[in-house]
Amino acid sequence: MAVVGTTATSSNTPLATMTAVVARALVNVMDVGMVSFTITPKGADWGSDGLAYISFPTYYNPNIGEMMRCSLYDTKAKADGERLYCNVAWDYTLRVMGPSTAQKKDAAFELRVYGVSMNLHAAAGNFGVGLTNATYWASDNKLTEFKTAADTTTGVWGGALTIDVTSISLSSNNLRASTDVTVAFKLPVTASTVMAASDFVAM
Amino acid sequence: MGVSGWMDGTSTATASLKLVTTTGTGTAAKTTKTAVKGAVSQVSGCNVVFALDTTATKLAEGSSYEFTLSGVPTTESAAGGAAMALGSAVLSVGKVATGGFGYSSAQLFNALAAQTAPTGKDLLEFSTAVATVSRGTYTKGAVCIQPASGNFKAAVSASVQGTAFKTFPASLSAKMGQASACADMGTGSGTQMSTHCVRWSVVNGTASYTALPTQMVTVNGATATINVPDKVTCSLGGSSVPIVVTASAVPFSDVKVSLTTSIADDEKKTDNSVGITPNTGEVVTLKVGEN
Repeated sequence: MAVVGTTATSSNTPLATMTAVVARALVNVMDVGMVSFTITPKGADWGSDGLAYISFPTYYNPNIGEMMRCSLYDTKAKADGERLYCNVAWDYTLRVMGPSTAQKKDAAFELRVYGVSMNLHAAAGNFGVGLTNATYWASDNKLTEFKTAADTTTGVWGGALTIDVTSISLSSNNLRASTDVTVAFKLPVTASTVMAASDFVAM
Repeated sequence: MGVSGWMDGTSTATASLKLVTTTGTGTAAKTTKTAVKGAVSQVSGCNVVFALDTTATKLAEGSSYEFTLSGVPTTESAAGGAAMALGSAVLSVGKVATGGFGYSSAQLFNALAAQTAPTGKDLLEFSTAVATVSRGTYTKGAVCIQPASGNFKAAVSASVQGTAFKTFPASLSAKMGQASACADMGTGSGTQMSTHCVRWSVVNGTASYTALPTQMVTVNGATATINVPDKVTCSLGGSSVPIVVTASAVPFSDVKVSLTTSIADDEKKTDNSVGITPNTGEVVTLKVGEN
């Protein structure tokens, strides 16, 4: 994300004193995991007029993931808090709309992005975490605060043999309703026993 | 599948896992299903992770399982429902501390059946997928409902859920034979400038029509203008000068406009309204529904 222009009128020199730290969960290749950003704004509260623009390293999918869910995370209750609308603003760049209750400046908040397609990288790159507000962005397309945050270490390609799905059935095939999806599957026996002692199932 | 409910947290996914063991063969075969304790630990718009409880026996290679995902919103679009067989689902297993170590092949995943409207019902749609609203005001004709094809075959009424967004009139009503029904839509001045998932209830006509899909509403911060005349002509010793007050948009809540004296910013604080005394309580109220 370009943050500084070449002329005085296009320059964007946002406050660089805020802090941003990245953490991730389910990081192996082909995983749909979570990236967490712990952000401490220093310039202003981040509230209902706020926007966050987060650029992902280019070894991520340009679409970042699929149907991401963004949420504030309550670190004390260890549960998701307010859901935030987010979408891909442009390649590798996620836009997150601010929360209804302002996150105060000088206080850390955790923003979680679920549904991120994970990858394999040779060297960890940087996320670019920028904050702004909708009014300033609409008029100037500039950030008010920006900080880079290093990615965590790479995951691995863990697959060995294909899981055998023997059946799938839905309890309802009606549009705009709710359904139960039942999948029967068998784990193959692999030479490296990579699937042994697995403790999650994802779909 | 319709996933906006998972994305904004208005619907919840639950899941269960069973170990399936078969003993004996032929007619003597006996299948036993044993629950494996765990809970959903992560969910996004189209992905769910079911983490085993720490006390549960972990998955074993060579074993068979049955995974049931409940509370899955079905697709909201007819096109998506017809193309379910083209959807690629992937099931994976792995370790919570790191990530996946086994995946099914999307190409080999059994085809999903097409999804359609329930028998005897037709689809109800919004005329546009995304509505735009300026907060603090009502946007004229922001939302229209219509059948997916043709005109309404029965009387239908629908209203928006929750309190953040309101329509004027409060309920959209269409008579049989009508092509569509429209309303103004507004939200308060403190609403987030964001894209919101807005849900609707079909109140009348549920025997003939499905529910409405989730409506995406983009709220912007565009401000409206209150207009007053730049000059009025007063008669010496007279009274009751009419002043017309208008607004460029319908206010979301009542706007009060009052007449006050004008004091200049100069050092002397010159009274520009000398000789004119506005009556106390002269207030014009622009009410919801008028501008």
